[in-house]
Amino acid sequence: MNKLESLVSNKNEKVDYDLIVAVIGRGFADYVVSSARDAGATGATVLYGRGIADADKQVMGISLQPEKEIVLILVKKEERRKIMQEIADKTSLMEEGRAICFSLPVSEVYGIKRVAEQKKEQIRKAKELQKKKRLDK
Amino acid sequence: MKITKIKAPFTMLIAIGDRGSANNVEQYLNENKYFGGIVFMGKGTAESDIADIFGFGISDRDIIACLIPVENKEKIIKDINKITGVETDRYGLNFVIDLQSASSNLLEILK
Repeated sequence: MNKLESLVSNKNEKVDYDLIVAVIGRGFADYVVSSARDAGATGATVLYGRGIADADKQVMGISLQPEKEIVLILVKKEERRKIMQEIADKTSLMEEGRAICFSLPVSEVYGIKRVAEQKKEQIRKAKELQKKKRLDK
Repeated sequence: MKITKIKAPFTMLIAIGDRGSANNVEQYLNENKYFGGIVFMGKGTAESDIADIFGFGISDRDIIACLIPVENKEKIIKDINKITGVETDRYGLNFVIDLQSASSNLLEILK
């Protein structure tokens, strides 16, 4: 049983989730998302913002506006540590101090089973399409 | 100064849906006088691995964050689930984050 199937099969069981929040420089969200996906996350939502830590920083008299991306990833509690570790290791942004990653406990979740079912359906359709293409060749 | 820990009277509801879905939720929250919400515009990547094959991996999303009173939590969540259709036929994700603390000014405004 793969990860997705196990997610769908947990339909009637109580599964605890955490929200991983990663704040990184603009343009780096893709690295975080791909690292998280490699570690087992199903998806992410990216928001845009502006950091205020270096508000007074100026380069050649021009003040910098550090643009940020905020990545939200909803994950199962038991997968949280692995995913956060993967994000920290693969992006190496945490080491350079250019990013921050933290998690929040989520008390209730609605819709994730539906998302998992939709994803399963998409996988099935994509497989069918690939099979059809192979047969056509 | 003695600090007394009390249960936060509000909790934070986050609703993630397709672009445009925030309007209905916003309308519901305003009609029921649940102020203090904020709408973010972001991108979703959940369908990437499949959709990348066809070249549309990222799609626009609306993210709503709103403080809701704990005593009406069940009703509000039920209504918002119905509005967003997350448990029936539409894409979306609603979840609740418990608050550890809140400022007194904020609580006065939300009363």
